[in-house]
Amino acid sequence: MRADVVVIGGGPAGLAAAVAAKQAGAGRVLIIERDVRLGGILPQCIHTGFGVRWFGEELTGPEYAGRFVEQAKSAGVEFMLETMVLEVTPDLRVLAVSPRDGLVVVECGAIVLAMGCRERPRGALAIPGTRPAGIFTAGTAQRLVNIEGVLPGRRAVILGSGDVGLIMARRLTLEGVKVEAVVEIMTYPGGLARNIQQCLRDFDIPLYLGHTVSRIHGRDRLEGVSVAPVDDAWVPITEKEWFIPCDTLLLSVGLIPENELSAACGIELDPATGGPIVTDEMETSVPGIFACGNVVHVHDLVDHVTEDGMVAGAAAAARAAGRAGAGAGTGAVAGAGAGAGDESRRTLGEIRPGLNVRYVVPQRFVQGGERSGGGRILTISLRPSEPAENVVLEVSAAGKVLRRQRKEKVRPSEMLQVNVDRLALPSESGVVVTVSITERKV
Amino acid sequence: MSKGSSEFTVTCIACPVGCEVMVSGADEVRGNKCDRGHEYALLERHDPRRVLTSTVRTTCPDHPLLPVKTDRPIPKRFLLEATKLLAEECISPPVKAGDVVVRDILGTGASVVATDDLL
Repeated sequence: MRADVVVIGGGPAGLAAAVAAKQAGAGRVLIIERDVRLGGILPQCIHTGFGVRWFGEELTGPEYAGRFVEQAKSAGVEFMLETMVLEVTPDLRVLAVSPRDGLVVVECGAIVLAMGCRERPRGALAIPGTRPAGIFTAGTAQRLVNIEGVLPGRRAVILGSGDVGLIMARRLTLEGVKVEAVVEIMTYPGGLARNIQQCLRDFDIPLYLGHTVSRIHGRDRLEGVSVAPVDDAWVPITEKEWFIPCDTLLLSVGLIPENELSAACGIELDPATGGPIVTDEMETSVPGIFACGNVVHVHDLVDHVTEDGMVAGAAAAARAAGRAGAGAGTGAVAGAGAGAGDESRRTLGEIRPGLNVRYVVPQRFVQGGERSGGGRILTISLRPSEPAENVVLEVSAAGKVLRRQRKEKVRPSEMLQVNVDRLALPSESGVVVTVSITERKV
Repeated sequence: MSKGSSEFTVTCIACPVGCEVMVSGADEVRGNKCDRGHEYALLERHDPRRVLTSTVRTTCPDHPLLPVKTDRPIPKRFLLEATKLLAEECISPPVKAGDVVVRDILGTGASVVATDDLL
């Protein structure tokens, strides 16, 4: 089988990439999705808050997904559902398997990785105690309640204050489950401020910051958890421990980009994001393979995932058509670009996190002024390492400040974006742009 | 959120920015970055409302639940009662996103509408 652009994953990132690839003139665009339906995680996110940026209105997850499925269908995107991709190769072939078609090899003009992320499980936390039933990741509980119509339990504690956990605190409360507490090891919440308001305060659910679950009790079914404050080294202070009876513990302790396929393909990953290192066209270190959405880094808002997907899809279409504007992979910065012909001569600058910045995306940018897709603006997404107030977000290169932005408040839970004028970027080959967050001098 | 004092503070939920908005005793609003925050903070002080999202049962074995929402915010105090009412509902296909499932729920004037297709 042959396709111009193959998109792996039919969630919001993949749908946007496929739509954009079609809009950019790609011939055959194929989405390969392992689930029975499109939309990724959105169908189980029945709450509102999606689409304020992209559509200018507040939609639920199923509605947001529905609009893109509709667009993809009318654009002529093809789908293979219930199909698992086993391998992606650097020579742009995708190996997949499905009950209907068996083993399939697709030769691709370009590939877009849009596999999303998964939840950090209990095994990654090392909580002492027994291993009873009744411990779920927040997303699993969300699927049980919203798709399958099953309540995970009657009395719950939630460990971690990520957005999915907060959303589930409200959802379970409305469905009659007593949510005893949300326990967060950090001294600040992991989720958005508005979710603390509308999911916890609205229902008087206590939030214990700087606390953790120090022990799990129960033999067959969970009977309760011990909760304790933690010291500076995150070690529970056992003298201050107390017991909360519950039959359910939800974990909302972080999301991890799902990159087994990328790693096996030899795509260079960024340890800070857990996702592929990408250019501003969302191209990975392997020329012709692009990535977008939560597989690159975990986003707070689906609207930003859509924006990423649009960039990746358009660039992949250009690549598949062999047009200039298609990148040479991030490998070019290290002199290892495998791109063909003229493309390998294009140079990449590097973008690095500076003070109080945990990561930046993209980590590379194609040098040489305006881009076909994004015009003059280079948008850098970043996350701070620590919460801070009254700070300056600064983008600099070669000792020159390119952009300064005042910020009242920054939090690791809230992704920041800063725009830089491409024409202001130094043109020396291999230039390093640094993004930092520093205290405002009074 | 503090109530009863002369100043009322609330985290705006109108968009993901989450502004801390203060409303003074005389309904002067500060801290909002847009008009929606102004409107939200005043409503939150005098008549707090939320869009309710929930599910209703269906007769389809493959899709046992259909997601729904109120088509406008309803008073916060009705959220639990409305959810209980929706637990009694059972719906048969075909339903299109936007179709009304329950009209004027609890006399709030809001309709409960499907947010997904059930075909």
